[in-house]
Amino acid sequence: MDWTPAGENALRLMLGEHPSPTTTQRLIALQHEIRELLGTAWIDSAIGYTTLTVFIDFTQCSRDRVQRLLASLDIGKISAAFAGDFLTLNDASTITLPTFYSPDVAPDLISLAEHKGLSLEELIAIHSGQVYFAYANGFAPGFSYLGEVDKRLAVPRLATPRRAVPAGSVAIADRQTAVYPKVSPGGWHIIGRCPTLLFDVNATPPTLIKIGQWVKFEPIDCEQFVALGGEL
Amino acid sequence: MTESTLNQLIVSEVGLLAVVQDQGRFGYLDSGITQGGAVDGFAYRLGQRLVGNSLSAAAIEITLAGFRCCFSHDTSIAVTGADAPIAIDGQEKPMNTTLLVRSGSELTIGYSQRGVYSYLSIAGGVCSEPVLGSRSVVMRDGIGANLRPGDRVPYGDTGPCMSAYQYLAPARIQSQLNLRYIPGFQTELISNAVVDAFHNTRFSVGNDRDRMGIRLSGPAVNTGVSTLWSESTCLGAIQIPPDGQPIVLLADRQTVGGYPKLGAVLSVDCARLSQASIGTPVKFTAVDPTEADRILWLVKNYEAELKLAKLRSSL
Repeated sequence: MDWTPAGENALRLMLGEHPSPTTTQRLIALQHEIRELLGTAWIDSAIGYTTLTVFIDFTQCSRDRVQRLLASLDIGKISAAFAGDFLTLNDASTITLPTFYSPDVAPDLISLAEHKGLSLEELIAIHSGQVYFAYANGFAPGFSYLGEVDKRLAVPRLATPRRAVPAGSVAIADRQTAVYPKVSPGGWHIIGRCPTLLFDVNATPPTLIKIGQWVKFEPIDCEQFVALGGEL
Repeated sequence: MTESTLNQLIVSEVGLLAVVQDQGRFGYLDSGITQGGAVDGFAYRLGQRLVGNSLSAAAIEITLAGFRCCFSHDTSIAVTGADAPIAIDGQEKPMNTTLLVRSGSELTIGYSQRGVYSYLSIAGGVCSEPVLGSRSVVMRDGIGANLRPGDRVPYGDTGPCMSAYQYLAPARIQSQLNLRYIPGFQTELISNAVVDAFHNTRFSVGNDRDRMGIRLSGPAVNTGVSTLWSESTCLGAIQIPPDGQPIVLLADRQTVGGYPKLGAVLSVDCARLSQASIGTPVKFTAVDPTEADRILWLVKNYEAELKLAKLRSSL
């Protein structure tokens, strides 16, 4: 394993060139193991699409020692031991996000369908017809990078990002999809809106979607959207 | 207990921005929660020491402009960081010094002459409600709120410090900056010529800056690397967006990003950069991780042994 410095207190590992659920699951297993191993020298860690970055207090455990510890890890063994904890596709833990797909809440729905030569029904059926994997969390609290979106819907980011994307917006960029947990700037194409609360500082953990979890979108109508607390 | 028995600081002016900050929030990167915390860690920790607090107590971080507040109970305070005129009940007071304030006293922190961030530390610390282990406010993430006139901020009831100290060191705020950084893994993807040119370029601090990061201006850095798979960002990361103008990421940075990065500036230099005024010339020098460890060890020990001149008893 090739750990390289990412900053004064950070080491970063890249597993492969392309993301996959297997890679992410290996990164999750490794992340747990390293946290245990480092004890109080562990500050934080974060999983990216193909990477694990670990933040370490090198005044508590020297760089040499940390590097030796990390080099000695057997990722195959660690993942095998952790395998039971991985969530599977058909698991009860799969999160369903009710989504109101409508031009009333999604400014890019019609243009994206036209651009892709699809009817609205087809676009909605494709987006809600599969299960997505949570590869990483970030950008904003509770924002999860979900993939991989069907090729037929893949689209580059907007040339000019919007200053304010409404909370709950369901969006697509390249082969990724996500829900904006709260109002924020954003350059993804908005195709729907989800009323589910994705981030709550008082919850443990504070995010609804954990890395490695499976997520699907379920079309709802306007009435259901409002009944679930959605705001038009 | 009536409300009046609570130690409170009553804010009347906040200037550009005033926020409660401590050392930051750790352990939640995988939820997308940024680290936050005082941007100038050195000035923040110095303030805590001057009022006898633990180094993780919360303070008020004030950006550039004036701040005014009253205190409900006797206590000790210190103002550190940006070089700003301060006064208690209209009487001018020194910075970097333990100061006694009486119940009803009014503190004013004027416009900063040099530097950007000032820290108001109070004996016993700011006692706002912690969120996920920290009192640091990150308003864009909905964690706490920026201070507004009329806000009442609770502080510890330890009372004034028994002794007063002053920190008498030459000014830290520099007219030009040499930022030491650890080259990152992505430098392998970037040609030596580009890295050499980067080291030989004199950038300047731009006006696009906040607690998330500082944009530098200069000749465009063309990394030749397009957007990468999103991954974790570090404090001090030197991010190169498509326009080639580097952005150094600070405390409130987004937790992940996909722009190419040349490496990450040492925390001690991030603190100095945060105080630099617009137009300050900046250059970068690469240091290897072992050298960085040595620098950080020296800084940590320097801070631990900080020479604080003891003044008369503050009472």
